[in-house]
Parts: sequence; C-alpha cells; structure tokens
Amino acid sequence: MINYIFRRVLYAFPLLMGVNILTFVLFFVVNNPDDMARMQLGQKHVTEEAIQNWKHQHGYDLPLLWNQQANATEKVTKTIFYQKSMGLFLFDFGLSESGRNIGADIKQRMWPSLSIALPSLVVGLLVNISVALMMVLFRNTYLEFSSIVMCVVLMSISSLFYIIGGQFFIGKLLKLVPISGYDTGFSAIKFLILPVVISVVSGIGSGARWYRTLFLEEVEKDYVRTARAKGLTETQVLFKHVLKNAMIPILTGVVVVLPLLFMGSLIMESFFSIPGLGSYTIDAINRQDFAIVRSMVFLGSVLYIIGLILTDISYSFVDPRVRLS
Amino acid sequence: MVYVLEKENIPYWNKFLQGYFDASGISSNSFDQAIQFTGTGGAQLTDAMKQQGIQLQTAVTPTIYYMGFNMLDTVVGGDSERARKLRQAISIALDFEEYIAIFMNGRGIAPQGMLPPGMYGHQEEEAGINPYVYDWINGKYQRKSIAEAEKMMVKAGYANGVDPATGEALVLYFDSTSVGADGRPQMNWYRKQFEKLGIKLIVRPTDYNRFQDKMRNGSIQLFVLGWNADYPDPENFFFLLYGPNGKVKHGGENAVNYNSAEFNQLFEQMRNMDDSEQRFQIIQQIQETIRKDAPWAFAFHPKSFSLYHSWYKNLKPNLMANNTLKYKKVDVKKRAEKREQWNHAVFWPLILAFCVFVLLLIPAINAFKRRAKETA
Repeated sequence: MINYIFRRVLYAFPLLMGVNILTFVLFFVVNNPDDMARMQLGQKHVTEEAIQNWKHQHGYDLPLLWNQQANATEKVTKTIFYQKSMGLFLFDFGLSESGRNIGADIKQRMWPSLSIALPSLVVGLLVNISVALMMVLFRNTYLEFSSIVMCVVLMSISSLFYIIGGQFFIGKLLKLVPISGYDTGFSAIKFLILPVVISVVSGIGSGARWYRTLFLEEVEKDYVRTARAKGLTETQVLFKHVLKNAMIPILTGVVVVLPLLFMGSLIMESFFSIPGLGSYTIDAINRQDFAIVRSMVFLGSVLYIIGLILTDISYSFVDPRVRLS
Repeated sequence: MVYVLEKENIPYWNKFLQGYFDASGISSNSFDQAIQFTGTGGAQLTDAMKQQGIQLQTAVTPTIYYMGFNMLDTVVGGDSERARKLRQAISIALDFEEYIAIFMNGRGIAPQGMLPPGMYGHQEEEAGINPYVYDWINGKYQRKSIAEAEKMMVKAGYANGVDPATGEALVLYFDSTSVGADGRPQMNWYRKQFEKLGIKLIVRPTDYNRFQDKMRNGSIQLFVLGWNADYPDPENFFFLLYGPNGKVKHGGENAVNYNSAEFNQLFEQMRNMDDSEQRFQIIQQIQETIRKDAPWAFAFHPKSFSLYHSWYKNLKPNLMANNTLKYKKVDVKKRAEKREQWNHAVFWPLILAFCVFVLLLIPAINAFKRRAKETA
C-alpha cells in the first residue's frame, strides 16, 4: 500500500502543475497585469507611471510564461509564472497583492470555514441516514410516499431560498438565533446554529433519497433474506446488516469531501458574514488578487487529490476484497 | 467602536430592523417596506418604521451619472452641427425621469447641467435650465417632446432615424458592464429610448477590464459613467471635460475626449479663481457650452435615503468626507434596551412543529407494528 500511496503522490505533481498553468492562463486571459494594477491603485487618477511602479514592486513587470530576453534557465525562471507559482509546491503562498500574508490568512480563516462545514457534514449525514432508514423501514406506507414527495420538494428549492427563508423565519420572526455574524470561541456557537440547520435541511432531499437507494439495494440481497429467515426483526435486519453493508459507499463518499471542508462554502459564508476561506476566495476574485486566487485553487487541488487518495485507502479498509497495488 | 462587514443586503436590512446596526441605506427590495410617498411626491417613513423610532435623512449627493458620447467617434462625436444635433436629440429622447422612477424608486433628480444642487455655481429653477433638453412650463422643468427630438434628427440628417449612408435605421453601439440579469431591464429601457427616434441601439456587454481598454483606446461609442465629487468645487466636475484631460490622448479622466477651445479657455480661467460674481458667470458660460455641445446626456444626481435608529444622533450626510465618526453620538443604554425589547425569542412554533411530527409518526408506527405481527 505504501508503494501505491507513494505513486499516487508522484502522480499529483504533474496534475498540480497542470492546474497551476490552467489557473494562470485563465486568470491572465481575463486580467492583464495592467488591469490588476489599476484595480489595486483605485479607479481615479491612475497614471501610467503609477501602474509601471506597481507592476515593478509586485513582480508583474516580467513576461508571463517565457522570457525571450533572458539567458538559459532564466528564460523560464524570470517569468511571472515561475516567480509566483513555483513557491506553491513548497506551500509558500507568499503575500497577497495588498501585502497580507496568505498563509497566515488561510490558517486564520480555515477555522470559521471548518466550524460550519464539519457540523453540517456530521449532522447532515446522521439526519440523512436516519430519514433514509425510516423511509426503508416504513416502505410501502403513506410515510414513505410522503417522505419521497417531501424529498423531491426539498431538492427542487434553490439553496438561496433556504438561506433567505431561514434567516427570515428563524432569525427575524422567531428570533431564536442571530441572523448572521461570527465570534470566536464558544460565542460562535449561536452564530453557527442557523447556517448548520440550513445546510442540513437543504441537503436532506438529495441525501436521503441517495441513501434510501443504497439501503433498498441492500434490502433485496440474499443475505438479508437469510437474516429474515433466521427470524430477525425488520429493525434488527436494517440496523445490524443493511446499514453495515451500505456504509461502504457512504463512507467512501464522505472521505472524499473531508479535505475539501477546509475550503468553506462561498454562498453560506457570504450570507452569514462568516470570515472563512469561501468568502476569502470570492473577495480575491472580485479584487483581481491573483496571489490569493492561485493559492486557493492550488490548495483546493491538493486537498482534492488527498481526498481521492484517502478514498482509495478507505476502500481497502472497509472492503477486504479491495487490494491497493 | 466595532465595524462589521455585512456583504448581503437582506441580512443587513433584517439586522438593522432588529437594532444590531445603527444605520442603513435602503435597497430596492426593502424600499416599499420603509418609504411611502405623500400626495405631493415627498418621501416619508412607513408607520412600521416610525413605530420603531427610525429616522429618515435624504440628500441629493454630489454625484452625477451621464451617458457619454465618445467625441472621437465619427457618428456621435466631433464638433459638427450634424453630430451636435444628433446628441441633443438623443439627450431629449433619453427620459431619465422615467428611469429614476422605474429603476431608482424615485431616488434621484434629472440634472440640468454638470453641477449637482448645493455645488457652487448650480442654479435652481428657470435660471438653471438646460434649454436644449427642457422647457420651463408652469414653474417646472418639462422635457422637450419627442417631436422636438425628431426635428433635431432631421437637422442632423437622420430623418426618422434613417442613416442616409445605408438607407436603414441608424445603428449605435452602447458598451455596458451591467451584463447580469439585473442589468437586462435597464438595457431594454435604453433600447426603447433610442427606438423613439428610430435608432437601433446595439448593447455590447463588456467586462470592466475590457470596458476600460475600450475607453483608453477610444473604440467605444456610447457608455454610462458617473462621478462622485472629491471636494465641493465645480472645478472637480468641469475638469472631466477639459481637453488636456482627454482619455485617449492623455490618459486623463475626460472619458468622452471632449476638446472645445471655448470650454478649455473658460475652464483655465475659472479653476483657480476664488468664488466671486465673475467666477459664477464663467461657470454659467461653461454650463451653457456643455449643454449646447452635449458631450454628455445628463442622467441623474442620485438622492441618498439613509435610515437611523433613535439612539444614533448628530449625523449629516456627506459623501466627500470620511472622518465624520468623531461627530456621531450613540446612546448605548437606549440601544441595549431596544435590542432587548425587540428581540424576544418565540418558541411555540418549534414546539408545535415537534408535536405535529410526533402525531404524524404515531399512525406510521402502528402500521409498522401491525405489519410486523402479520409477517411474524
């Protein structure tokens, strides 16, 4: 398995290089260094001299990918791409265009992101599995039928509606929790309840239906029939046998998203004023801050690759038939 | 002092109503909830706002928005009488009073010149009229009729909006950065205004970087821009049309590249003068030159509507100064009391929802037990 993991890590390097180049090209197709300078210097009275100064100070006065004027290796190294992007492989994110330390910002902002994403994932998983098990337990009754209808309704509603509706009903009308905001330590809990509840509720429709499908597939299998024939009750069959076997796809599905929880949620963080990494990325795109955009895309790619490797590993743990070689 | 960054309008508005923000603007979504117009057209707070002790302050901001005609363009630009008449006709057809009513909830006024009310040199009533676009009727500004604009079009050589070079409707190009769904109704509105003159307007959605590029290289025909005054002097508006500030040739702030010898000379004369009768008269001459040449179709001076809670005092609207915090007063005790009073949690709907859920579950559990017995 060690060999397998080592090989996968090596595969990651060309992938990350490709992501880096793609991000770089896409960003500079839309924004050139002059545009970035104008954005940073403000809208009024920006002189050509000020633009050139800004580019020189921030290292954007070099060619983008290939320096024709330079000698030997400097043709590659004396370019914006090399100077700005290669440090990422050492997790040196550098400074943002406004001079802030990106690594420090990420360390600070990942906790608010995690504080929403982790409880949303755990509670959402528990709720979705419970609802799905209930639907399977009560299959062919009005409860299953009405639950499926409710799931379809929940799936059909835009996530934005849940956020606005939740803030209005729970925050404004019932006044049970603050509408938005964030605080440090335990004071943050009251601010996190509403976004977590909204995340969970908005995910029930698709999540519960997906898990129900997995459970129904298991329920029809021979070992379940055997368990029933042995005289086990329906609840014993479901919780002791079906749930255990259906956990394989559930677990692997969860493991793949675990690393990405650090990246935060763009809409949730924006609507709930949570200073996490999702809003950090959106703000950077709006400000044309390439340093932050490339760092966040790189970090997202690394985390996604880690997620995929963890998924493969988790397969071998939960299913003894799988061998990594 | 605690500053909170609230990015979205809806939570901001709701938290303001709960007393967690001391002041708020009014977004279009919340306008009807906050403001009602009296019979005479004046704005006042709704009863719900008054009950909360909220106060309203309105002020015309030292800002101007305009549709710019690129003066380097061969169709709409230049110093010829033909182009001037075309620009004047378009200025009449663009009914910005309607725009203000539809898109701004009436929060703005249509300008008669470059200077907003309150700025030195601005004149009220008939003395301050733009005679190329408005008439003074019954003590009010009245936009000239489309028939007048059509006459201008005939003088410009575009009778019924037909371009004699092609024999078809004159085609003009409008670059806009309002490319989203929110901007679409506004773009349709602009198209309709030009259709009144038989002109076909083609809207070119452009991202802001490309828009700036086009401005710099002069490959733009029509566009909408605005300007907030940096300091309270007419020079801070007029310099936007000073020839040596032309965007294409000099990289300055004169986005329409207007370059009139008469304007330039008057501007150079007035810009460093102290306020005086002589300066006032020069300003009026400058206004007249701009109105006649029409490098801008004046759109609106926005009107700011600000709401404040009763505990927040000593406020004056001021867009040009950023150091006004020291003058503001907050009655912290009253704010805490009001927050407490307005934000009692309501639990009964939660309890009711739980009871309904349990009631729904009982027959299902019974059905499940019955089925289990049957299969046993």
